[in-house]
Amino acid sequence: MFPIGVTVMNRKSLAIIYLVLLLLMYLPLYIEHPTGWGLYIYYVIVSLVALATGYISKWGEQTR
Amino acid sequence: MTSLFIIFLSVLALYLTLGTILAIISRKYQKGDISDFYTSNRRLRGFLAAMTYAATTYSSFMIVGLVGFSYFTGVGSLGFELAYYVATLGLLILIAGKVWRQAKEKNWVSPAQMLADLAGSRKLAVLISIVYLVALVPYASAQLKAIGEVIAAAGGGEHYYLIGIIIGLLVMLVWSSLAGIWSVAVTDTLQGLWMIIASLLLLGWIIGILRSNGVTLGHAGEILSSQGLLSVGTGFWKPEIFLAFTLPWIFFAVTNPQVVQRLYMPRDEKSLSTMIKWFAVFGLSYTMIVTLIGLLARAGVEAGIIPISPESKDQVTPLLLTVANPFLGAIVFTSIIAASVSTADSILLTLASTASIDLAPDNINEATRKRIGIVAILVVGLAMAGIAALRISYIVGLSVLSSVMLLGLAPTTLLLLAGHKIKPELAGASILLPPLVSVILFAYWKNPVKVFVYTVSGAPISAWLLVASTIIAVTGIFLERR
Repeated sequence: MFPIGVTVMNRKSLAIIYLVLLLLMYLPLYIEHPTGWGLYIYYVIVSLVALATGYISKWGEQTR
Repeated sequence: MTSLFIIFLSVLALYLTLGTILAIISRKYQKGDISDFYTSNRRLRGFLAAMTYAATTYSSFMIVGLVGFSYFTGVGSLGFELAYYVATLGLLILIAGKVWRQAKEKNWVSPAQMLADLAGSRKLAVLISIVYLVALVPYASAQLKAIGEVIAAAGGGEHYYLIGIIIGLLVMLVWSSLAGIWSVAVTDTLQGLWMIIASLLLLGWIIGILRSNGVTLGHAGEILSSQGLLSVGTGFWKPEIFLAFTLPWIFFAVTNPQVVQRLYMPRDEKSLSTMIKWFAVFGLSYTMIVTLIGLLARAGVEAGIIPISPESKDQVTPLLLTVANPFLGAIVFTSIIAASVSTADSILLTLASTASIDLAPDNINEATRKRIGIVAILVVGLAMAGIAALRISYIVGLSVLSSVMLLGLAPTTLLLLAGHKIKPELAGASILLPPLVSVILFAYWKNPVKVFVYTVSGAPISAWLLVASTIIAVTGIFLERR
């Protein structure tokens, strides 16, 4: 599919992906962020990536 | 009686009747043993497991507290709640399978039993059970208080508050004791669906009223931006406050026993995956809907379209409902009750399981254990209602503090699940430190919210407690190896 599809098979890579996604939720606090609805959309996109990562990893089945 | 109150009582009666019928029907799935009563003996199908996980996790804080937070503090509320969401999803994907397999192998019923088993110390289970009771009874009491407030608000009279507490207590006792987790899971499914449909209807109403007055989403964005509500870093959501709000909650999936116990319940690994999948869909949708309600309501008020003027966060949703269509108001008011009951009865059942398994003596038979559980449901339920009835102002604050109190469980749980052995005395000290410090600071300041948000050297107390608990737990690993 794309590189993430390979990395999410591995527990450590999966942990790193979720840690990075979590850190991305804190990022707008420290840097200039989009105006208007931009930040709302940003938070939703990061969460959708978390959801998609779950889907690709078959909700953790690949790492069990 | 106002027309809103009459319609509300009718909708409430419908919800209570449906829930009770489902709870009675669920009894046919019960097998009677204690493991089945508390954990379904790992027989829950994925969707049912997902809905009980979601309804237990998302309390009335969402449709009342988070709407208010979004209204007053803006988009940072979405960031805070979705930080919890991303962390929970990650933790579930990484550890749920491991917990489920070991729970099946070792027949765990309570979360304290899991930690005590992994650490090899029965005494640890007793200590953890006490921490659960201290942290979660105020949390569940706050849910009953929310029910009282809703019925008082809908009825327009303070004397309805106590009636609300009594209704909440009775529903909680009946739905949790009829068939244990079976009746709780089935009613949670009804309540979870009710919560999300009600919030969607409320959002639809707000969008409709804005559009009919010529305010598009773009215009609403401009209004909110002009108020500084679509940015973070300054205003309310400064970095240290964001950290104070998010840190205790990102470990919720491993620190709160009522959700840890739900990882034992799916019937197989496929159902576990289905549980995580539907929780992921529910959590993201519900968070987006609820924060949009708060933000768009604020835009409507600023544009002079929605005639409310709340003075505090908890007033936003009730005031919105007083100007909405009475049927919509009744459905959403009932959804607040559903959210409170689904969280409170799950906590009640989990605390009862801890009383049956971890606090009861070893040398008793299963029937006695089950009787202890039923007595615990009654005693703890009455204690929750008693505290809620006192209507102490800081109960909601104490419930917020519960996440800090339980934070010490995070390092120990994660390290034990990773296969490390921790010296039980240090595991206990690591777990005990946050509740001990929280209680001391609360007694000193008399202000639970201050304990939650107070910063030392730029970091909230919870961050320091997490660091200290982790150091103690890691020291316990080294001492165990010697």
